[in-house]
Amino acid sequence: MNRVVVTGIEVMAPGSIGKDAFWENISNGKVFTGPTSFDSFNDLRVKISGEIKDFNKSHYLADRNGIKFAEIDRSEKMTIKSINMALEDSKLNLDDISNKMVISLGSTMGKSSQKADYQINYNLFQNLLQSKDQNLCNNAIKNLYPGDILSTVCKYFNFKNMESRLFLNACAAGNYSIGWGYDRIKHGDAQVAIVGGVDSFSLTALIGFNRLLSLTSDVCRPFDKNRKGLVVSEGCGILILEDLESALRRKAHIYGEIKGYGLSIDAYHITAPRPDSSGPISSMKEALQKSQISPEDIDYISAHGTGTKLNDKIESKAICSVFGDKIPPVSSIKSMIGHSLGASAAIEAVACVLMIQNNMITPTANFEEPDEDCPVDCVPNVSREMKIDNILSNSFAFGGNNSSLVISRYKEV
Amino acid sequence: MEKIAIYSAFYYIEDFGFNYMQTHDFVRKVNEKSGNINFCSIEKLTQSLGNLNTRLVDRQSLTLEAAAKLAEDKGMFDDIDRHNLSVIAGSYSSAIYPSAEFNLSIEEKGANFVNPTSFTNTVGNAVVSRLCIWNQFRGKVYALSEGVHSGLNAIIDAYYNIKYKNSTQILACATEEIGSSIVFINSYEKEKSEQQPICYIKNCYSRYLGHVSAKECICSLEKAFDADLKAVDIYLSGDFDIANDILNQLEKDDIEVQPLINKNMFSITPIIDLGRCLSNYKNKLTKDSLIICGDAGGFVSAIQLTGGAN
Repeated sequence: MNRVVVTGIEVMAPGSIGKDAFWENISNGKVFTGPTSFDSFNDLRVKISGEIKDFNKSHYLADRNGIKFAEIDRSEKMTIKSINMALEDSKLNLDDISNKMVISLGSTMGKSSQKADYQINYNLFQNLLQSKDQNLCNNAIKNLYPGDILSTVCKYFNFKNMESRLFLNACAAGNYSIGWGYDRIKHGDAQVAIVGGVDSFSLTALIGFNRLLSLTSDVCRPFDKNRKGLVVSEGCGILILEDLESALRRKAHIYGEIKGYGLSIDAYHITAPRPDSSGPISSMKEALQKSQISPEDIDYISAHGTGTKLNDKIESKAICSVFGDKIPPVSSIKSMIGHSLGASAAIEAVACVLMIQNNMITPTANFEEPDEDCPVDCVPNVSREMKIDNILSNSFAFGGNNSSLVISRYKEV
Repeated sequence: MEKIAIYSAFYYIEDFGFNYMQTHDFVRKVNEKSGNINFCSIEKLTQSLGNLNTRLVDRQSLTLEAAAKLAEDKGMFDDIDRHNLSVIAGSYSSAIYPSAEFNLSIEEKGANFVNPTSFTNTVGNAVVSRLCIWNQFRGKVYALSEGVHSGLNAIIDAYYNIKYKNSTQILACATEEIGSSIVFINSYEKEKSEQQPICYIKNCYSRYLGHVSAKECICSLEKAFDADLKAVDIYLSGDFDIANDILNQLEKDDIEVQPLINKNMFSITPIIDLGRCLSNYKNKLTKDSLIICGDAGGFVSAIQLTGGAN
């Protein structure tokens, strides 16, 4: 079995384009959520979001292989921009490894509209639904279907002969993507995997979560007694995973090691977590067991921590069950950048490797009052310096999909 | 030695449920029919699903459950450990139509008055999640959406997940508005398994090829499978242009092929082809089979099946 290490990372998140700005922001507990920038739906109960407001033409990449960067969908722009930065960070020579590379991405909403108006163009949809001519319908959806993101990315970078996957596993999709790439390298079916997650700001999600009463009207306060809900945001996180031997051979910088992952499903309710928290318990235990790491060796938990009443309560219950009376510090960066849906797990994985690099835990911002239902040390408001060797990163999803990932400091054996 | 085996396949398409033994008849009817397959009727589905609370649930969730119910009625879940049963579902259209309906509903009712259940339908994994809720499947579960080859990629991922020992029993599904399919894929060890499989998955292929010529594509497949394409049964589906290019090239090379193209069955089409293969293996076919699917996005996926189980 091959060891799988991280040799490149990049991120786009509210307040940050690029990993350096991202680390600067989250390590200082800066909050980048607030009133939304769009001017429609003024009567919405909640109009708070996290947006990458400074992503503009100055950040656009050159047109390539027939793809006009300015004309592609916002999710595609963010993905291509982030992959480009991550590949530069990894210093990989693609010509050397193109036949041994794979790519996987996770997303919740898939493609969006170019203006971040509706997630998908309403008028086109209306024609599509009302049309009796299915040939017209099917041609119309050609450029809308979620997998088109992968096609655009592969075409832009000319990723010929690469195997690819797009996971639509809602808010845990990024970890499914990382797990898929990890498996391919571990078992020798790939040398390098580009993995991650993306979601551009979605009005569909904002309106939907509004109706589910899952949104906070001010800031996201994970694990706080007075938490009111999540903040819908956007972002993209990309990691370059590589076979250790390959990384050592080319003297690559190794950010950390992916040790293993665990997946489970609640099979309980489409929006609510299973009350006995058996789903998250199962994913965390499986991740630890596959990583051959005991709970005592985990130094920090990157929580799913959405700031909703139910999620934080059930997640805390699961953590208490797995870690007993030795619970490591637990925090949630969603308090600062909001919930970027399908991108969140991958962005949090990037945050985890940065924490290992910087020997610092990022805080749970906006925290005011402890909650007896969440008996965890949530690193309130201020970063904490400490040596971190092993991190457990949780991401749970709509529909009851649970995922846990173990990321460790790279050590020679 | 452990092999990765296929045990059965079930379909619910255009208001009609059937198993793999009936796929040849289905294809014959499809080819005789002018025009395309229609979307499933939600009214008929809700009637056939009996006591389930299906109010406002999307069509794909209902068609997948209808296919699962057919499998259950045939006893396919009798000896299965539901707690460890994994599900991988591929879809081309994914939640596009539910998203459209949700957006129309916003226009009609206003953003503060849309039904939240309609929003749950817009999330890509809602279909597999509902299948698991209704049937208490609790293994590894995820949804893929990549193009018309997504159903085949669900089979390919099932193959890899068993090979990597992530799962031993998997339902590989394809879901669209016209219907859904379920394929039972298990690890098979002669000494341990009581039930005999229909065939085995020998090898898999899934690549982004971009806009390469059909000739290059066929070379790539030959190389990947290390197979003489004249010696295997070939089934071909996919988006019209890419699949037709491959078909023309195969015919030019005197390679026999059974195409199933442009009936708008999207990710289910290669799984119909798989049903045809299963039926042939059940009827004592011994040759290897190759199921190929090409997507206009530049993706090509394929699986090689081998008999010998019967």
